Amino acid sequence: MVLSWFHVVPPPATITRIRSEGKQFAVDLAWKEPTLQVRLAHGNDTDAIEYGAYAVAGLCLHHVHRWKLLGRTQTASGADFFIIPEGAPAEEFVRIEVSGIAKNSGVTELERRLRTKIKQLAHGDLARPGVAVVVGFKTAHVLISEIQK
Amino acid sequence: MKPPKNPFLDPRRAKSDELAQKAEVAWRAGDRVAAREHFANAAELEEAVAVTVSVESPRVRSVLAISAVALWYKADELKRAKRVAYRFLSGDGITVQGVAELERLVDRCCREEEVDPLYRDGVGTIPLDLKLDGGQVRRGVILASEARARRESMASLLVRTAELEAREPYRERGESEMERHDKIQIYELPALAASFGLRFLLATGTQQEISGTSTVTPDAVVARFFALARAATAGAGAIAREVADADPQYARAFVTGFGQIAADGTAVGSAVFSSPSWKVADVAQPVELTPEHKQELRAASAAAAERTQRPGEVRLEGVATATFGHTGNYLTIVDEKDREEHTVLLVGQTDRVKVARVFEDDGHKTRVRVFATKGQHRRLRLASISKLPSLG
Repeated sequence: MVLSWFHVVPPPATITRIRSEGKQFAVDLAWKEPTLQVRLAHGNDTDAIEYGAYAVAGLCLHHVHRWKLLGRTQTASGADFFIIPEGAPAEEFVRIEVSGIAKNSGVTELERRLRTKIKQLAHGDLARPGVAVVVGFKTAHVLISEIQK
Repeated sequence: MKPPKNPFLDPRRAKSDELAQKAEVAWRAGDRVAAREHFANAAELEEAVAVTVSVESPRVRSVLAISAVALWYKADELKRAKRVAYRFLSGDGITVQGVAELERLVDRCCREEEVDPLYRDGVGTIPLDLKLDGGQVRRGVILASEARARRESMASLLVRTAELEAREPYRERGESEMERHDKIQIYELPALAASFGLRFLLATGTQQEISGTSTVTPDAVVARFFALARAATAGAGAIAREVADADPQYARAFVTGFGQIAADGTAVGSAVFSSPSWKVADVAQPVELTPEHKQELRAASAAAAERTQRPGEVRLEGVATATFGHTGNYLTIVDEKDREEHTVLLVGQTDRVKVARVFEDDGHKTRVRVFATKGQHRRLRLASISKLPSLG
């Protein structure tokens, strides 16, 4: 839904630039015009951006690295999302930190947010690697960073 | 039915996640009963999946055990949450990090159980932590003076935030209306043995509604506190903007308070606020106050030490002469604006000390800003005095 705030409904698909570990990719992101029901269900902008970012991050991680989104598990403060390399055993899951920026999504702002997310992952489980993803909706940019521990 | 090889793909997990999301939506919509029910149903399913995970998959077992316990905790089923946590803690197949996380959840359940159930009705209790790390801070050990100063500042800022949220007039000193009316209760919890944590729990007071006064809830106070802390990282100007509709003295109190709490880089390396609660929107991200923030806030606090004019006060700026004598103590000021001479009475030892401090470097003649109130026979009485830089 957040993409519809800034981009024309495909076709043509929204060209999205992904930067991951120094490599750049350009992908066509296809999405449907949100229905009235979807718009009403995502009336809260903050939540819409958060969930939209998870959806875009999931797609990009799968496209670039073949990671699969496993779902959420709970913590005292909220919920964490987990991903896993395609075909890998469950024990190899990693946590992802995702952030979405709607309007001011220039690369500098995305990089600043990515640094914050990396810092957050570093404060987490020391035994696990993690992946930080920042999605910029207006500029259609996605930054991915893997943190190995 | 044989559970799938990957426990994450168990259909019960999908259902549990769906119920947890429903619970979050219900909570935000204010339907606390439905939220707790959805969380409890989700917890039941999550626990059922977690117990099927082999001890040979400790990472999956740990993360699902934590998830199950967290869901019972969110359902406010604190005893059940503890029981499930103990079950996993007493067995094998939990990672070191998993043990620490489960122990933290047990601790949180124990503390919240102690709080009067009356307070847990409605929004319930909202935790707020200040984690201190680095510098001379060790696991569970900190210089007493560093902890004390921050503890006092935190408690004071929380009460100020509650007053601000309730649109109460700025309180110069004395007992807070908020505390007196039992509208917000602030509890302190013991530190956890990880770095050093000052832990608070905000709860709704026993007296729910007092006619003629605004009511505030713990979640609103914590959300506002985080907005102010985030503003503090952007400087004093951002704090002023955050409280633009309130008495400017609020801004000064927050600039000073956050300046005191921020890490200094020597005794305390980092100071991070967090609220481990899903109940409050916009507090998911911890807020760190670094030594750079401290420097900036302290400088702003010193600059803002000049107070603003209050209703009924006269503001005078100019060169003053202080006279302390047996016939009385007073200041004579030639105001720079109207060029007139004004006499301000000093009453009691407190006024005398205030003036003496301002004049201690320059003798009895210096440039000052004075706020004075009109007393009997329209005579001016000192309210406050501060030194101004010399024009020469």
